[in-house]
Amino acid sequence: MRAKGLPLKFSLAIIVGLFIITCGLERLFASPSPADLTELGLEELMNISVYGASKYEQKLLDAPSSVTIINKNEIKKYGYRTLADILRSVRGFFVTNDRNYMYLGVRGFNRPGDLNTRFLLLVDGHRLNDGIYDQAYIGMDFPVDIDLIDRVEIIRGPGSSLYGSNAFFAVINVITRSGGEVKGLELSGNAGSFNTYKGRVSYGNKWEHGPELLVSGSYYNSDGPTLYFREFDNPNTHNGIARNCDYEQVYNAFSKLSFHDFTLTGVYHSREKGIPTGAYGTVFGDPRNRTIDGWAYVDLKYEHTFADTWQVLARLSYDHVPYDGYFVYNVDHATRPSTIISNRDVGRSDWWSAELQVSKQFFDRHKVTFGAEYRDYFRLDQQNFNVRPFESFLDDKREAKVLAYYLQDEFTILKNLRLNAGLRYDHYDTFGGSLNPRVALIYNPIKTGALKLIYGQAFRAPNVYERFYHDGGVTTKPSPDLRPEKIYTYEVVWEQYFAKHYRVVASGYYYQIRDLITQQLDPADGLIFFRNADQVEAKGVEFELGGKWANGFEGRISYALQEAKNTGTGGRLSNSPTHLPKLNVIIPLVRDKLFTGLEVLYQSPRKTLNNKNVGDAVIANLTMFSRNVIKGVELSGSIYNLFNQRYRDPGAAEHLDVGLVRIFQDGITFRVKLTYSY
Amino acid sequence: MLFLPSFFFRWRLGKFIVTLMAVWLFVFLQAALPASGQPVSPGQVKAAFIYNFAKFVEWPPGTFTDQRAAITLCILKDEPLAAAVMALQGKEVQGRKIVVKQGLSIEEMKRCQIFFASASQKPGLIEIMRVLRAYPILTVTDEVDDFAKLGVIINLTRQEDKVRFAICNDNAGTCGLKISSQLLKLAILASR
Repeated sequence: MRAKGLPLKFSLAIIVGLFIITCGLERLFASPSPADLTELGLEELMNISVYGASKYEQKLLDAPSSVTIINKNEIKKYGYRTLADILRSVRGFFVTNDRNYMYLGVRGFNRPGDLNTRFLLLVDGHRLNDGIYDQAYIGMDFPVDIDLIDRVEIIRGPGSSLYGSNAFFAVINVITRSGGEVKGLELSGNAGSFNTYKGRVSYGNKWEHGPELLVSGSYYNSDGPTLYFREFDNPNTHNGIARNCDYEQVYNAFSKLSFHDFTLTGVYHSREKGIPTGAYGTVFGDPRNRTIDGWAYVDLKYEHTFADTWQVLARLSYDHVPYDGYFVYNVDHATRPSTIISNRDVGRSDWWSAELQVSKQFFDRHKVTFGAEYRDYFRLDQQNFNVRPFESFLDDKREAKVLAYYLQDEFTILKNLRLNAGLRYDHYDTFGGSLNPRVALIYNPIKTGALKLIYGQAFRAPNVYERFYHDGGVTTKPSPDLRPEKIYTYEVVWEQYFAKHYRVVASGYYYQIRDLITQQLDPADGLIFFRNADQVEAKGVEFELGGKWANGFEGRISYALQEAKNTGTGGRLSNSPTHLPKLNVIIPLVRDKLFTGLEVLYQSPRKTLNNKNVGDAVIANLTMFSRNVIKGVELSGSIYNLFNQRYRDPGAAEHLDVGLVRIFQDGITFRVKLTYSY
Repeated sequence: MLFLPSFFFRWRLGKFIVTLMAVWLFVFLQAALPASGQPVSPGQVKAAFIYNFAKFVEWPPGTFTDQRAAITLCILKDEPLAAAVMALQGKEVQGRKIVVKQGLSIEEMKRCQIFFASASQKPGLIEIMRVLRAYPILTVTDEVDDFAKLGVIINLTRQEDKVRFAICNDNAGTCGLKISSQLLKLAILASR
């Protein structure tokens, strides 16, 4: 069944060809820059590209963790479609797709059945892990349109000392573009394989002495491929063919209004996705099996600096997260043919949250930050029922309140030695408190380098889905006695800028996890449930070399070697690749006008839940991006999975349950995208 | 054992490594080859911006002693972009020559017409601006996010790989400078 990728010779030929084109075009089209720039007018100056370490990168050396930033420039030039595309290109991260949701992995962890609960996802500092499932959406279900992202900051390591629950392995902060930067109307449309279309309209502006505004709306629709599953290849289940089952439809609205120190953000998002895998024992090949995930939030932020030294941040927000699952089951009868029954799965979470953070600089040597956060989950409803005849299996209503305090000090001990220490206490009305410290010592032997020694703890509270969800004993049962899981981490990071163009990062870490909440299949009754089952140990090293040149070349090469083991059984974790080498390059073909972005990502074999294997994969994505050939027009064409690698991801318990061990991923696909701004 | 030598002979990984090495080699070669257009350093571009700003600013009457008096541009002692700014020495704008002076005291800087500082000068900048904001000086900073609060008039900033500038017209008004609408039209407008 596995189709081979392109022969090695062919891929080499492509690259050699690319190189020749690059050299040729660069010399043909590059316009010589004038010796004296003062001869240029302002508008011409504004069109000149400059390169070098950006202001964000310089701050990276000071961060008490290893941080990667992907900006909107890279998003365009690499042809990223989703947050998952961005994250999978980053050192040490990998993404699993079960064709319903995307799951993020790092440092050897990507537990099948986990809904990205061990990553904290933020949009402009607003928490985007929901109230019932703790789920962080990273695919097309991510509530903000990818074209509105200014940059994504990926902060590795535990962040509970600042952010509380979910900041277990990493914090991902998505920063949106500003209205002043969009400045005018922006229209964008793209089309891709499997009848995929997307359109977006955005408007941004910043008025003198006045407000700054960004409003945007987009619509996405994809028919999805027709899929073949060997596991369902029999006449009763459409011979394994799922047609019209992998569709996806997304509505998206975003608005951000800033006035003086206030920023008001409003987001509405809804995504409908077909489930083609027959997961949970649903009728295979029935397009009615689907989930609809939504998110709406309003966030009011106030930021002010008093008397040059007191910085205050206050935030008040309201989130509403609806989830609807539609599942179709076969019911067998003894005397007549089987009938079909419609099952509905519903989640509704609503919460208010408030946060206050105050920072002050003391005696030039201490920067102290104190904060308090309160979240009131006043509605956490889960339901599961059959539609006709109506039969309710689950009607669970919960509430939860979280109050937390945190304190952090950045202490400049010597000019080149700093201590960053933080502590946060979270109190849950359901199970009490969790105290999480982090201490980082940052030493700069030279101005352009930093050695960081980091110790940190983090926790994740079990969510109401894990504790109380069940569907009346059809496939799942509740697990009310779960306790928080906890991680203890030790990490050494070395970061260095050198020879003007290069940045090198090396890190080594050791993680210990106690009471990891794990989805399991109870052999006694065949039901899925959660348990504080595992004690896990992970260790690994990561290496990255990045470069950026004046003529527009940039790239990074990274490698992560990781080993995550269950200390109880001694076995390696499932869905945990040992090797993750990655290559990303942007090559300018015509200065400032035409670029090609190439990424080649490798993941080594992984174990599935039942100790089988999924093979390794080389995923190469190639994008040609042009801008300002016609003023205001950006045009790009992308080929994803260039080698047409037929690779698979391990399924979770709901797939294993129906005999589906591995889930096929897309082969080669295409996309063209056009953006016009004026 | 974490490293398995046989692993590296696997077909897919082999392909990955070869691709990777090939691409990386080419990138390094490319970077090493002299490009036809000279790379432009951010400092040069920023200095050219400062020069252009001077064209669009009107200082209050009495600022200059006579028709031909020079425009003095001040920078601090350890200004990282000093080399690029120094290149403006002797250039003419509004019929006046630019004179760049480095490392003056605050008292002496009160008599400058343009003052420029990068973000790395930030600690001292707060103090300096407390004095200079009252004088008719075109103050320009580089990558200082809260420039408007400090009393600075123009801040250079980078968006993607392009240089942009933000103007706080209130600060210009306070110290008696008039900024042409042509310049304001191209700027990101900021308020205090």
